[in-house]
Amino acid sequence: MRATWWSRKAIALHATVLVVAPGCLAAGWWMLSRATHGDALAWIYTVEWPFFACYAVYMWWKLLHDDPAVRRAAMRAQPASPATARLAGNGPKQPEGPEAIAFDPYDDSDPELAAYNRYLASLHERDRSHR
Amino acid sequence: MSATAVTGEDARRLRGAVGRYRAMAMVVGAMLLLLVVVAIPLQYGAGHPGLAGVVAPLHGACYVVYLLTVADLARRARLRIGELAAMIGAGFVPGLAFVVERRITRRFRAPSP
Repeated sequence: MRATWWSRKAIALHATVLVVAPGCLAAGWWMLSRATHGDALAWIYTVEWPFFACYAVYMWWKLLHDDPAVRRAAMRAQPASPATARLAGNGPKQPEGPEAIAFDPYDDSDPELAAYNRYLASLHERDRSHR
Repeated sequence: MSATAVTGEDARRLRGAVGRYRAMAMVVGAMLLLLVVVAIPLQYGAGHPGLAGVVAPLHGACYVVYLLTVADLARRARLRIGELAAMIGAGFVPGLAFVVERRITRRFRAPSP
């Protein structure tokens, strides 16, 4: 998967990590100086702040490689069932059950359904022109 | 891992990751509330820093474990940037942990078999 380095989202991520990671390291450095001057409790934070810095870099890398276009391509290549797609957090919000999966709102092969859809469209059109 | 790979074993592991995240979110959220509502007023209002001295580093340590559960969840399922930001912020914005925990749990709740 290739990352998009200069998209809007990517630049926001770069800016965030460039502020957060050095900030965490600076805080860790400050805590180290307090720890070596006798504040025993500060040792915990001396470990913690560099961890936060690493975490920020990890999430920056991860989000940078989380390209929605790549995700959509994967979904098209191998359509998931609504249940698994919902579990992965990408699925359309659909009612469950086999009849819900089989339903296609753009299917015009059923003349009765197509006529009903035309009727709904005409109602919608009339609504708009009367407003 | 692509989203479509979430079946069977992966779904089970995702549920486990959500469970661990939930548990740590509640621990961290409760500790932060204790810290902000009780311990810090005791320290600066009443001059008793004892409780804050215990709860603050404990909250810090739990927050590290909590962040690891968030990273584990993010590895198994894609989190949106906003969600991730809210989950990280839940460690230091009082009360946020419980709100975010509910939303995340609702989103990843496993479909009934």
